[in-house]
Parts: sequence; C-alpha cells; structure tokens
Amino acid sequence: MPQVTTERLKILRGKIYELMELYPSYQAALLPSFFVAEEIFGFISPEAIGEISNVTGVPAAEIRGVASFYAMYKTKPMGRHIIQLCTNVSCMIEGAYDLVEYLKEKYGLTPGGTTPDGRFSLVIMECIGACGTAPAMILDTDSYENLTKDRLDTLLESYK
Amino acid sequence: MNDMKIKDVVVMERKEDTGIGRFLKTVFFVEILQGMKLTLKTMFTKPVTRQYPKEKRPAMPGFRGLHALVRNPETQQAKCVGCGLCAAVCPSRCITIYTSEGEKHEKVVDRYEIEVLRCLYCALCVEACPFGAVVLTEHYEYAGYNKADFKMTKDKLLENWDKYMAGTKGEEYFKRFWGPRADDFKTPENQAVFKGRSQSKVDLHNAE
Amino acid sequence: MIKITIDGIEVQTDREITILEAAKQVGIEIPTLCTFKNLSPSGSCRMCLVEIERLSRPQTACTVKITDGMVVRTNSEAIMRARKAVLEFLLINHPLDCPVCDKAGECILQDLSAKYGAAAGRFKEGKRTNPVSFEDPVIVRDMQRCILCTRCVRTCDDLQGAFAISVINRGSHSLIEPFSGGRFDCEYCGNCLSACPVGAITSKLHRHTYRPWYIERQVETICGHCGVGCTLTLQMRENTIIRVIPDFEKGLNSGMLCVMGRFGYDYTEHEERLRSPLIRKDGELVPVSWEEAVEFTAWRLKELVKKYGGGAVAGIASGRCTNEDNYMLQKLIRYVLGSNNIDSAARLFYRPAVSYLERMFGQGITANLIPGIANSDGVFVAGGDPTTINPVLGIAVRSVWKKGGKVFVVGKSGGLRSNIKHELNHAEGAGALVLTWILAKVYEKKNFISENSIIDKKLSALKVPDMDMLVRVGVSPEALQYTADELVRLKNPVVIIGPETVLYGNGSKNLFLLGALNYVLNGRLFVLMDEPNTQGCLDMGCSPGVLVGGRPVELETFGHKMENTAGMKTPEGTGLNLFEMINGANSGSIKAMFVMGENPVFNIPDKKKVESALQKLEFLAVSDIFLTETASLADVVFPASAWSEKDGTYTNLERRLQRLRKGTMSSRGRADWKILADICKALGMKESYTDVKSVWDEISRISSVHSGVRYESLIGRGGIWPYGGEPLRGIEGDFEVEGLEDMPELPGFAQSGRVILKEDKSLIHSSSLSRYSPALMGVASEPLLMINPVTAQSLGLSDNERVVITSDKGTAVAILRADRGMPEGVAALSNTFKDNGFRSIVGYTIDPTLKSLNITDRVVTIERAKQL
Repeated sequence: MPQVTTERLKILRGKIYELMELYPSYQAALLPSFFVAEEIFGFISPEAIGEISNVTGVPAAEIRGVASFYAMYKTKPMGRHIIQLCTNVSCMIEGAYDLVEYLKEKYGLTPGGTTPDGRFSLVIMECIGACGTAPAMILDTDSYENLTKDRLDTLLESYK
Repeated sequence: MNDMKIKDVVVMERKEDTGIGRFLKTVFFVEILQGMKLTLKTMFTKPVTRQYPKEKRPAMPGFRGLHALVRNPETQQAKCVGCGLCAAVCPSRCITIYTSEGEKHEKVVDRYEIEVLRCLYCALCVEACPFGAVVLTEHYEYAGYNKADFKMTKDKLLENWDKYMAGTKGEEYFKRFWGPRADDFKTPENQAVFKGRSQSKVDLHNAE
Repeated sequence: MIKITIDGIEVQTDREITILEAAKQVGIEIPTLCTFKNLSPSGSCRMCLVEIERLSRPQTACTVKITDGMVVRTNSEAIMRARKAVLEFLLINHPLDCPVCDKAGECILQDLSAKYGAAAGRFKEGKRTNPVSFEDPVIVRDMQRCILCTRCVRTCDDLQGAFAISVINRGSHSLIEPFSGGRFDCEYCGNCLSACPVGAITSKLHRHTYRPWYIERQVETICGHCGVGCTLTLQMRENTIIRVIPDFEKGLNSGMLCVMGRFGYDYTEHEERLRSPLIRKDGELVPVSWEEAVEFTAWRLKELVKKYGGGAVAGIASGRCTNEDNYMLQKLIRYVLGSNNIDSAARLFYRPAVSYLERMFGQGITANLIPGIANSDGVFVAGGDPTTINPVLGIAVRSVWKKGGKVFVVGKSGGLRSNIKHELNHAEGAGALVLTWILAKVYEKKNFISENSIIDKKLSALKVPDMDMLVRVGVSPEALQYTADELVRLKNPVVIIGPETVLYGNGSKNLFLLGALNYVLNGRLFVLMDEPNTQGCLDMGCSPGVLVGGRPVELETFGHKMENTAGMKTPEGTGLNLFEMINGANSGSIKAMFVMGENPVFNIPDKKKVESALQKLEFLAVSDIFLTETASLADVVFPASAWSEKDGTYTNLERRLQRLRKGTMSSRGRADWKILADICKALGMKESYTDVKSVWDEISRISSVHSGVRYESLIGRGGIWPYGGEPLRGIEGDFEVEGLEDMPELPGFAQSGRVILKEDKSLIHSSSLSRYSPALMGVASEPLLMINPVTAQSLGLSDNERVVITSDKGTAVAILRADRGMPEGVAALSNTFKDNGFRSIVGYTIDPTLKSLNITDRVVTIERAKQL
C-alpha cells in the first residue's frame, strides 16, 4: 500500500487541476479524481479527500459521502485482487450465499474484508446483469459465470 | 337554601313531660338505664365488627396498596429504566425520577421517589410502565410518626417488593391484572382510561 | 389567483405554494418528517403523501406545487393506509428504545406512530445495526435511530453553511457522519440537534437526565455570550437549567444558535462561583455578610472622596452586565461620588470604532438589522471573522453567498473561506494598504458624487499604492481587481468591521477607509461586538465623555434633565478613560475603583502594569461571579448574579433592546444594580428601587434615546432605539485621520525565528467567561497557537506540539496548530485561558486619535516546551 506523502499529494493535486479543466463544474470532476486517488494511494484515503476538497472547494464530508455511495470506489485499503460477488435474487437462488460461506471458510474472507495476506478482498455486489448464468462474479476486471465451489477454487488459485 | 319559604317548614307538635314526671325521670336516671340495658344486652352477643388489629381482612386480589419497584431476578436490580412515563401520567404528580448517564452511556436511575401521602392509588403508573417495573402491592398497613417515612425512595420501594411480592406472587399479580389484554395494545372499551390532564384541550367532563 | 380544494375546503392563493403550505393555511394537518421550518423541501420521508384527483399515485404534499383546479384529499382510506405503511417502513430499522431515548416525548416519529402507525410491524428480519458515537464532547450520534430525513445535513449545508456532515454509504446502510467518522470537529453550533426529528443526534450535556415533561418552568431570554443577542429558551427543573433551546418563532436568530449559546450555559453552575461577599482582612479575603460589605464599601468610598475629592474615584463597567447594572454604576460614580471617571472594556475596540464612525456620519450609523444582511447582494468584511466573533451574524453573511451574493474578506477569511472567491490575506500590518487601493479603485469607477465635502476632501488626499507594493504584501492583483470590480456592481452592500482594524495601530485610518468605502458604496455598516451589551454600556453613559443616552458631558441641557429627575448634578469636565485610569492608579491620582463584571488584569494588555496599578489603589471593589484575576486583588468582592439569574435589558450591536429574563433563582449573588443601589443608598441616594423595572423607568425618563420605552413593552424582538426619542446627534464638523496623506508603509517583516503574534477569537469561547463552562472546555480545552504551516516548519515545530511563546512582557504555553489561513510569519493566540492569555504577554500604547487600544510588543519567539 503506497504511503501518503506530501509528494504523492502534490501529484494528486496536479492531476485534479487537469481534470477540473475538462469538466463543466468542480463537482463533476470528483468521480474521475477518485480514480486518480485510487491509482496513487491504492484507495481513497482521508488525506486524499482532504486534498480533493482543498482543490475543488467541495466540502470534505460531502466528498466522503459521494465516494462511499459508489461500490466501485475503494474507501479503505483493499487486497491485490477484488472479488465482486453478486448476491441478488438469481445468484442467491443459485447459491451465491453458499459461495460467501465457502470464501469465509477457506480464505477467512468476510464481505467487505480482506485476507490477512492482502491477496483478496470480497465485495458484495448488486446485480451485474448475469442472471441467466448465475451465480456470477467480477474478479478484478474479468467476469465469471456459472460459479461453483470447485470452479471458484481453481479460479482463485490462478490469481496470486 | 336561601330561598326556602316559611311554609316549607312544618313545626311538629312535641310532647314533653312536665312537672313531676320530668322530675322523676331526672332523679332515677331512667333514660340512662334504658341505654345501659341495650349495652348490657350487646355485651353478651357476638360482635358484628371485625376486630381489626387482631383480625386482619385479607386484601382482595389486585388490591392497590403500598408501592413497590420490581426487582429483576437476574440482575437483582430494579427493573425500572427511568423512562418517566409513570411520572408523566401520575395525576397527583407524586412520582419524581432523576436519571443520569452511566459509565457505559446507559441510563441510570439515581433517584426514584414516590410521595405516598400524595398518591391516590389510581395505578395509572402501573398501567403506563412499559417494563412492568412498578406495582401497587396488597400491603396497606403503613402508619408512621413523621412525614419522611412516607417518602418512598428507590431502596425502600425495592424492599417493599421483597417483602410483599415475594416468590411468584409478583409474577402472578402482573399476569392477572396488568398483562396486555389485546394484541394491538389498545385499551379495552370497557376500561376507564386517563384522558390527559385538565390543561389539555380535551374536556374531561363532557368527553364523549 | 389559484383555487384548489383540499378535503372539500376551497383554498385561494395568489402564489404558487406547495400543497403542504396550502393545507396549513386552512388548518388541515398533513404529517411530515423531513420538512423543517426554514429548510427547502426534500420529499424523502414520504409521510406527507396525499391523493390528487386525476393523478394515479399519491404525491408528496411538501414538494408538489398547487395548480388551479387541483382537488386534493388528505384523509382518504388509501392515504391512511399509505401513512401506516410508510411508518412501518421507517420502523424497520428504527429501534423501539423510546423508554431510554432522550427524544421520547418530543419525537415526531413517536407522535406520528401513535397517531397513524400500526400497532406492530410485520418485518421479522433483524434490524441493521449502526454504531453509536460517543466520541464527541457535546453531541451524541446514534445512527441506529436515524431515519435519513437529512434535516441535519440540510441545516448544516443550507442554514449554517458549515458543510460538516453528509450522508455516507447507500441504501439501508446509509448513515449521517462527519468527515472524520468520529468527532464532528465542526463549528459545534448544534443546529443539527434541533433539526433532528428523532433521537439520532442529541446533546450530551443533558443526556439521560431529561424528559420533556420534567420541565417545570421555561423562560425566554437573551443569550449572554456575544453582541448578536439571540433569543433562547431556558428550560428548568428544580432551579437548574436542564437545557437551552432556540426559539424558532421569536428572536432575530430565527432558531439558529452557535456553540456558545447552545452549550455554554453551564458556567452558571460552576463550583467556583462566589457564594458570599468577601472583605480583605489581614491580607486575606474572608466571607462576610452583605450588610457589612455594603457598609464597608460605602464608608471607604465616602472617606476617600472626602480626602482626595471625587476625581480620585473611578469605575469600570461591563458589556456583560445589563443596562440597568451599568446605569446604576454610572449613577454611583458620577452622581453619588461626583466623578466622570467611568469607562468599560468597550474602550478596547467597540467604543472608539463606533464613536469615530458616528463622528463621520452621525449617531446611529451602525444601527442596522442583522436579519437584513441576508437581503444584501454583497458583504465586505475587514478586521475580524464574523463567524467566530458574532457567529449568528456570520450565518447571515453566509446566507448572502448562498443566494448568489458576493463575499469579500480582507485578512484571514476563517469561517468564510468557502464563501469567497479570492483570498485577500495580506501580510501583517498591510491592511490599510489593501483598503486604500480598493477604496481608491471603487471611488474612481463609481463616478461618485459626494455630498459630504469633508469626506470628499479626505478621499482626494489619499495616496494610492501601486500594485508592486500590494504584491509584496502577499495579495494577488487578480483578487484585488476582482474585488474592486464586483464591489462597484453591488446594489445593496454591507460592510462589516472587526476589532483588528483598530487593535494593531493605524486605527483611525482603517476606520476612515472602511467608513468611506461604505459611504461610496452606499452600504450598511456593522461593527462586530463580542460582549452582549457593549452598546448598552455606552448608551448608559459608561464612558468618560458621554452621559446616559449618548449625550456629551459638555451639553448642559442634559445636566439639567438629570438634576430635575434625580436631583443630582453632573460633575464637570471629561473623565479619565480606561487607560488613563490605569495610569492614574499607577501614579497615585486614582485612589479607589469599582470594577463591575470586568477583568482588567486579564483583558487589558501588559498584565504586570495593570496588576501593579490596581495593587497601588487604596480601595478596590469588584463585583463578579467568579474570583477572577482582578477580583483576587480587591479589598471587597461582591458575588453578582449570573446571566441566567437576573432580569434586565441588553442592547445588541444593532441597538435592539431585548429583555433578559430570570431563569434560575440565585442563592449565591445579587444583581449588580441591586448591589450598587445598596451602596448608593448607604451613601445618601434618595431614590429607592424595588426591581429592575423601577431602574428602567428612571433610564427611560432621563435618556433621550430610550425615552418613552416601557419595560413591559420590550417583548419578542424588543425594539430598536430610538423609539419616540429626541433627534440623534448629527455630524459635528471635521474629524481627524491620522496619517491620511502618508503613503501606507510596507510592514517590517519579522526577523527569522521571531513571529508576530495576533489575537485569535475562538469560535468555541467567548473571551474569558467561557473557561468556566465544562461543555465549552470539553470542545476546546487548551489554548491553541494558530500558525502558518510554513512558518512552523521553519521554526522546526510540528502540529499539535506544546510550545512556549515568549515576548518582552511574558510567556504563555499553547498547543501549536498549523493553519493555512494565517499569513506567513504570523501566529494567533486567544485571550481565554488562565495564565495563557494573549493580552497578558503583549504591551500597549494608546492611539492618539481614537483613544483606543493599540497593542504593541507583539514580536515573540516560539519554542518547543520542555518535557515535564
């Protein structure tokens, strides 16, 4: 996890200034600047929010609210690989909760948590549009469908 | 009364002994003897009144006597959480509660006082209590020499529970008289209810 | 004209209002949770659903505007079912802990559930758990109880303008949190607390001690912390204040309060309160009876006046005391003892500033309405942060910005930082430079034709600095240009003047520049006032050259009036001002002093000098609520009653007379006027007063600005003087501006390792009184040294370090706090904490023109404190 340093904050500040040029309002530049912050710090750290607030003038509390609203942003330190598992109706019926249980047993992963070795993080997702092939998940940027415990196992083994 | 007319008053004729008859009656205590005769007759009959200190009448079930605070059998502390509903509903305002914040940010009842002499035993406090933490016991004998004896503190009230509601007595009392009577927690139609203090807009005397 | 029908009742309006408002007009109640008095509608709670004919689904009454011919039903079966369902949904996650919830009894959700809700919910799933936060010193946040109506967030953003809290997360996991997630670290105004309809945000001060039905009495009174004069409601149980709540209907603050008003009431029950009069016997202050103290004081004063004459006596009045208290003190000093030596701490800033502006424009120039600020389209602030000195006035400034108006701040922007476009944060001592430039530019652009030849002449004599100089003091040309351009466009501007314009030299010039700017802009002037009754203190004649009603001593007509009414003669000549009294005491010309509710040792710079001066007095009497630094030097100390314990009147900075009402019964002290009346009586005063009203009656007979004001008529928002009074004083010819024609000098920048110290006004504290409030001390318990991070770094110091500040006059210890708003080379310390006050470690001179305080010896060294 990259440390929060003044140099890194300076880089962030520069990038936000660039982004603000591209958008009609300061608020609009928030979402892309979150991605920048994630790129630099690995997650949206409080210091990064403070810096974004300083530059854009949007209150820090509000920025935190926006960042926590979207599931795609990491508001706390996350593992190297992120498992985004759907538990909505179709996936639930096809046994998504069993998979959650399984992940907990095997890797000690709780929803929203990270494995002690920092390899995986588990995020419970709302529907990802793969209901026909439920249960489904997104691992980092790849989507996997028709999951079973075995398949999940082999898949995870390939992500070091 | 003021407009009562003279003709409404009828003067009855009254016969009075005069002269010697009156004199004899006075000398020989005739009227007193007549009275003593009744006294003597009664002395040898079975008494009709209850001989109170020796003979005590058992209270009817649900009698509303001296107050008590319910002791929680698990914690051995008072069940009361200090919500103050009893104090709010009390028509004679004889309940005072002082609460504060405890170490774990919980609500602590510092003082729970009932001024028994002001109480009119309506038991609205018992009805209002959401936790079944206050009762009126069946005990009614509590004379005292000074007013302070009748200021029931929290400790005294807990003691009352131990004394007068020992064993399963208290539980039964609640089950029988204060349990919720309907699932919707609505007061039964036939029960008398407190409809608010007189300063409220509801006209108590003409309430439909 | 719009006609609609609600429940068969026809409603006619000519404005487009919401259904909710229309229903309210005809007395139909529609239940709501998320609408709140001054907030914009949000439609989030769905409680106000109504049926509208020809619309298939129920609509929220709080957001739908009425249209002609609309037919609305609020009490149909379907609506009743909808309300029941909405409440059932709200209660899915809301805990049913009403018996231990502090809000029970005044909780809207509870009331609505009782009225419209179902007896039991049908959701068998467990409730989601959200944490309860006790981390904060004054506010408890129980998010389990939150129903996400966002009234608190909207209050914080739209009304208070602090932007401290926000909804985080999503869906049923949403909750309200400040940025830190724990402590609020905000302005602690607590307005979110009065906005919360349930028990989610509650006060920690009376947590678990309070039920609405425990309140035995409540009184409407005026806040005693600053010069705005917000209306408060004190709620009492058995002679102690349970809590302080705002009054949404009455008062100029319309339901808004600041941290001091809402939480700072508990100093009245501090254990260090004086309990009985004290007299110094053998060097020790010992408790004595009231009679003894009064007689002793009267005897000593009489003796000293006989020996040295009336001129050897002086009195110091206080802006924390009521008008009646101050009137009685000036009566004692002027008419009973025969001396014009009376002054107050108003001398330090407020009195010189106001009287200078009044000399420019006439009496009452600063009498403008605080709620009126919100109607302005631009606010120009110089010399102090209104959001910390007068927080509720600061809210009005923010509301200008909210409505699209412009805000300009010369100097540190502080609480207005998010409301300004450009900082004009100049180097220390360059205020006049910046103001001169702005004034000259505005004057030039506005093509202003003046009717006042005196001001006109002075304006043309001004020398305008060039841009290079301004850049050197750290102001950007862009910001200056913007300010000048926008100022010219303003139609209804407001100019706010803070204490820094006078405190650090150049006073008359700064005031002239701001006054002239206001004149050119045709704006309204406000002078910030940090004590609740500084203005009243002046109106009561507690100033050496001015008598009751603001009449100069020289005016003979007034003397006659006083003679006719009270049979007493006004002493001749102007008396000594506060500084001259201190000098007089030092040199021995002043022998006795009566100090009422003031702490000169702590509040006048150069502590050692003031202390030794007061020690040289033959007799010093003090009436106060605590044994302050000054009181501990006194020969007699009278315990006074505190703000919540007395009746009287306060005059706020807009000259609004408002009634202070007695809440708690004081067993400890007596009202100051009563103490003084007793002394006057012992010295031979003829009048006797039974209550505050009788004192007020005398004031209204004598004072021209209060004439005809009846005590009983001072209700609600009070009234602004003059009522039916005599004409105010007009302009009295020329006035002096020191260094008018000089080019403002570039400030000498501090040497390395040395820093210029300024006074900081903390939002949390109201000068030194609030150090006795446990709640306010809980929020800010230690003195803070605000310093620019770059300067701190160059000194080798880091944030949150304990530092020792050393000046020529003394030392203080404080916690260092990096603050980007401070200019480089400048640090600020508040004058609040015992032994570590700003004014104790600086010196002073007297401004020759204004006769005001000019703080000197401000160059300090800052070092890391040695580890204990």
